[in-house]
Amino acid sequence: MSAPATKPNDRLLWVSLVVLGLVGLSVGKFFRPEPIAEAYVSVTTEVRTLVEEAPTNDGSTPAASAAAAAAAAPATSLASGEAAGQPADNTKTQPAQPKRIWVDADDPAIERQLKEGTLKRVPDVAQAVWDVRTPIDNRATARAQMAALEKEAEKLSAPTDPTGLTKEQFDQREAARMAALKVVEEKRIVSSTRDSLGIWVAALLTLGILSFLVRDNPFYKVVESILIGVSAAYWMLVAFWSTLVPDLFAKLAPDLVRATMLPGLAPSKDPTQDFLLALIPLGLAIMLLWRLMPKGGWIAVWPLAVVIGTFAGMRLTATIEADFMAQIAAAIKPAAAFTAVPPDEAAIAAAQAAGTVASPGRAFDFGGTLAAILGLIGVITVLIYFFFSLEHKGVVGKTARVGVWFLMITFGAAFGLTVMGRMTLLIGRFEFLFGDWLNVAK
Amino acid sequence: MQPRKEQLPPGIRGLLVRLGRIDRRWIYLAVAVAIGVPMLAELRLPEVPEKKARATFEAIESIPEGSIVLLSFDYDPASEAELEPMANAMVHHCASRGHRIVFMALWPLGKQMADKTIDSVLKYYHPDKVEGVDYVQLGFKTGNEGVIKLLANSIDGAYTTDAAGKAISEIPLLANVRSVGDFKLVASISAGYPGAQQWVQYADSAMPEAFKLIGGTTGVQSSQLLPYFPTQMEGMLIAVKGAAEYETLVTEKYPVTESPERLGIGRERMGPQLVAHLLIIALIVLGNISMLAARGLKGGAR
Repeated sequence: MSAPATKPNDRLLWVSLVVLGLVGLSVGKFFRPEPIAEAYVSVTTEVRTLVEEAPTNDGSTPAASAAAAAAAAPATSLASGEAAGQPADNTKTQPAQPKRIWVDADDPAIERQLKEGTLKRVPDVAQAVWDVRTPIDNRATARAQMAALEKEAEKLSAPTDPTGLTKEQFDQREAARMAALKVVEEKRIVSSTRDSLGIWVAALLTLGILSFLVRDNPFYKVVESILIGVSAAYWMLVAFWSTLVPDLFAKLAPDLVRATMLPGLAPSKDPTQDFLLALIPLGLAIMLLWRLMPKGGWIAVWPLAVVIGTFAGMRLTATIEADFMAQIAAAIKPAAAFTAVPPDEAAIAAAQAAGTVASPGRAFDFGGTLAAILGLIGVITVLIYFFFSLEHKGVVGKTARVGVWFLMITFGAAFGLTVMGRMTLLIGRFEFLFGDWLNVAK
Repeated sequence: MQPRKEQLPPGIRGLLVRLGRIDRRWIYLAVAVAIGVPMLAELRLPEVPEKKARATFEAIESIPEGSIVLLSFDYDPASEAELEPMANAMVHHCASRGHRIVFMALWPLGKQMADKTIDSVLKYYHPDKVEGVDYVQLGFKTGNEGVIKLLANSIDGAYTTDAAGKAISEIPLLANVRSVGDFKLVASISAGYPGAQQWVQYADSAMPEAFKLIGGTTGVQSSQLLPYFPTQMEGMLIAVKGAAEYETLVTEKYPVTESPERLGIGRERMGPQLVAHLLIIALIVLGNISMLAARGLKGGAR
């Protein structure tokens, strides 16, 4: 069986797309200064040193002593809540390891802390040379930064003019020039293969999704499958690292989690209480997964009941307060609106003569009044439209009809806003394709 | 047997009927051209800020300099095109006004969105701001509205560390912050659930006088949130139009000299937006005329 022939209309559409693409690429070819999809990064070379927080006099690290001080000083710390109603800090029984961090030893703040002794170098660890890579938003910015760096380097390369300088002044200026030149030369703007490749992949995936507008096709199917697969994996990881690890595993086996998954896990204030409380979600989770067993599927209904009950209770109160009571209160307002206006000169003069301050006047606000009246009519007529205990005939029917008009205008406004939102998303993708990928727009 | 070709009426009526039956892909192509051409031509329009954008601007201006504000990034890359412009402008506004900023996220990728804004705006325009003192990134916390309820009780109930793993008790910026009521202003830049609506329901309702709540929303979500303005939400930015107006206000008062385009993304996007809207209005009008022209014909409207 042969494949269905392309319809003439399809052919015209494809030809239009190809022509548009070729015109776009040709325009770009003649006018763009760089090749398509070339990304730049700013690279700064830094020498890093491994340091750790120096222990305090009582042998604990500053982090541990800060936590202990926080528990002891309820008025100045977040830990005051703990001191008021919860068991005492147990950080003394589980001393935290001093935190180690790679720092730029030339940073004046770090230098000061090293001198003061709040930080100390970790012995027997060599310094490391670090390349800090910062992506640059767009190529125009990259070009401007490259030009500025080149200009700065050129300026600094010229030796200091010795005219009128003592030898000491000359040496000082020369040393400052060399130091500045070194800093400038350490900052580089380079083309990044990794980022450029990323742009190409993103552009092809975008085109793959957009190709569905022409017709369902294998390219679209592949991209759609990638999206679904990546999203599923991402959500699994998010759930694992943001829920299971910190909220369950860390409570059940904190030492194991600290040793294997979260080295920075802070010691608990009451590990026993945490452990016992964590058994409840663990039990509910096991019951929920019981659905997968061949028998006893009904067990999964109980945790579902807990989830539904909890959320229903939580949302009920929030909805009544925010969406019912507060909205009724907001709807009750005077039909005639006024705005405050500054007092006129006569009033100011009169007030000054009396030794008082002139009160602001008020002016009739036509727009505000109209909005208030329309709001009132809208609320009443729409409520009547949804009042089904009376047949929609006569006055009730006519009022309900006005309510329908209000609803239609609301839906129209919502549709307009939706169009604006969707168009913005398309504009965002076009900016990426034209700017980052094809380099024909800013 | 070939189906018999339908006889269309002659003249303009036939043309209008044919227009109503056009392949929808031509419309897609027209939309692409309507967006692409103004973008390449760099069409820019002046923005006149309206009430909601002004209220948002005033809310941030009215709190004392140096106040601690909470910015919740409740969106992900799918809504970045709409919400990033207002996020950038809001961070620049808060930092320029001297406020200290606490970043958090109710969406998993919100943390990355906040990081992007911190890098491209806060660190770029305000390199003097120190992490832990002038701003802190708390990151994403799972739990949706549950996180807001926890924050309403105590910060350390929801977050024990910041995103970098530093204990909350060691962060100077949060030394006197016990709950969400200690912030002067809360802003949720939100693309849906959980987002601005949950901030109204669970934080503003719990302590309506404690802080000002403002929101930035997508176009789709805004009709849900409009009833909250101005009583429950003191400011509101709706989609890219709201962002463009707010950018105008912010850059008028706090201009930047280097890379101003970072605070003008919303305004850049309004040019193509206008042309696309005009096209859609034209298509709606033509579609209706075509429907009327096809009345009485086989397969046409009755």
